[in-house]
Amino acid sequence: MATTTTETKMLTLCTSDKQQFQIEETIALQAVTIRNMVEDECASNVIPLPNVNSKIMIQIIEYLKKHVDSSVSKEDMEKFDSAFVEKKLSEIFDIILAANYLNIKNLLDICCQRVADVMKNKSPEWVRRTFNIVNDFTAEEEAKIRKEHEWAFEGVDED
Amino acid sequence: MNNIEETGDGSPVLYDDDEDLNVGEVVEGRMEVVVALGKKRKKMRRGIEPKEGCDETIIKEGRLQDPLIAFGSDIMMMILSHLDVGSVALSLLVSPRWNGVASNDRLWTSKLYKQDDRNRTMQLEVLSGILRIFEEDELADLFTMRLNGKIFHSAISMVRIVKDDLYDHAWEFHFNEAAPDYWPNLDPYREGIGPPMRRYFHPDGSQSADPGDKV
Repeated sequence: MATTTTETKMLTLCTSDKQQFQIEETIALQAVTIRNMVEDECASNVIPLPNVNSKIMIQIIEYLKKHVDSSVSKEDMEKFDSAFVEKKLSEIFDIILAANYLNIKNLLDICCQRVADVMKNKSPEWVRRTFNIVNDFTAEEEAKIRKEHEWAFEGVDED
Repeated sequence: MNNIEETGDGSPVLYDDDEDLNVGEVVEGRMEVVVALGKKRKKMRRGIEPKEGCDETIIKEGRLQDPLIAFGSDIMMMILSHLDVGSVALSLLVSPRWNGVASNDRLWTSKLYKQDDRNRTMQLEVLSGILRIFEEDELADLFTMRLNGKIFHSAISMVRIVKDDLYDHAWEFHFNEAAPDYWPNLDPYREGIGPPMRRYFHPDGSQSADPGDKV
């Protein structure tokens, strides 16, 4: 990054719990929602983010700080990403919502991948239990779909 | 590239040896489909081994919500798009709402599915309604999916079977109703007195049959 002698422009982000985060503009602008706000000049120097709390914001800033650094090799970035998503799934859920709101595509993508990895090869019963999903299929409906997709049950992980 | 298409008036039609997979009727009532899965059926593998241990504890902490309710269908689609075809099919069974999202044609037909299977990649690509298949090793599995799954229903009439599929399998065949009696009567399976007739296709373009095949 070519940080010149000129003063780095800072932005202040204000989270839902009224915490303020001062970060470099270049870091914050990776979030398309923030970039749009800045470009439309509808934000003063404090940008309100009512859908993100400070706990999640800290993690998102950590992610954005890493990703703004163009000196990081692709390999190291992938390492960072895979370590980054090693969190509790409930936290990943919060990050997905925030990344979607802030429009940070890569972050959304790696978190969706993380959720998919959890579901991969798991029986429908396991998925229901894990995500507290009520199965409101009728027995007949379920049996019908199950029969149509019998092949998918080959090699499913044991519950 | 061989196309196996409807053969019309009584000439041999390729038949599946697994009754459940006989889906000929969806194809304009003419082509009696396809693929003998019996011979080379491998246990389907889906991607990497699940990580032992850590996942469970990560999941158990904090009560999770149904991601479809938490995120809505757009993000749910994104999640499902990261899954292999088999796992998407399993998600059809989770709940009616999941079924609605997971059966979306965008997932099944306009996507490029990649499945990393340690040292090989299987790709099933759907381009303007034509299914193209890569990695002949996985063809048996792919056809299983397609025969049962949604892709099959929407695109079977355009499935092309590549030459290598032919070599991979023993193809059982029967005559369809349009055939004059002479032909079906040569089929021991029809009379219940013998196994189905088979054709073996070879890379040099020739075919062979089992000994005793009258056709």
